[in-house]
Amino acid sequence: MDNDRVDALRPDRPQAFEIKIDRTNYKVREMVLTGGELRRLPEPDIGPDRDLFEVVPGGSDVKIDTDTKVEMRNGLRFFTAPAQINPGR
Amino acid sequence: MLPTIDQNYLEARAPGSSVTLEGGMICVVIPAFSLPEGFNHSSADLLLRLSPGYPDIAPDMWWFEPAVRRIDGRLIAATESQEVYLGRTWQRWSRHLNPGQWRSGLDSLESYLALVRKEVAAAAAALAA
Repeated sequence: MDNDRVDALRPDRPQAFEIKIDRTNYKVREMVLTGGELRRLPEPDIGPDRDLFEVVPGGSDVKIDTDTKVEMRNGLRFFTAPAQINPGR
Repeated sequence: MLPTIDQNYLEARAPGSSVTLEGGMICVVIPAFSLPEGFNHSSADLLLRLSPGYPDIAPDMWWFEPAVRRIDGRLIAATESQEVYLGRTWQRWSRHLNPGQWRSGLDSLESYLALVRKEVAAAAAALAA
């Protein structure tokens, strides 16, 4: 369903959601974004060398895979982390 | 000793953590760090030893006390060493980031601890089947 139809069905819906990825704020109009779409918000894109997590206040951070769908809301915060670390001496 | 972003993170997400200096290193102890199933403990104290150049210099390795072992007896790679810090004996998890993986100004304790959790979970799951 496109955003215009959603707007018609939910006039109370915010025109944009303010979210944060790492230390940068973004405004998004979509109600739902996939992990892949979230990865393309920063410039440059978040590469495969980093994992993307959603911060869950009071809970455990959730790893967001490329095809994971995340419902947008104001104040959502995400962060990235190195995707791997190597055992060694 | 720590950037504000890390202080705020520890206050919010790891209450009871302590930050002290020892041997020129910034020692962060997170009590009762939760561990996944498959280990001999459900939690252990976690020690991070950060260089004075942190956060421009990446964290390296981490330590648990008491020692964390798989309940099936299988060894966890690069966890055999024991070292004494802060008057306690810690099990060292020797894990290293490649050059360039750590992004100063972007990464923080939040991202490093996410990596610690991921690696610990992988150690619990590896060869379990």
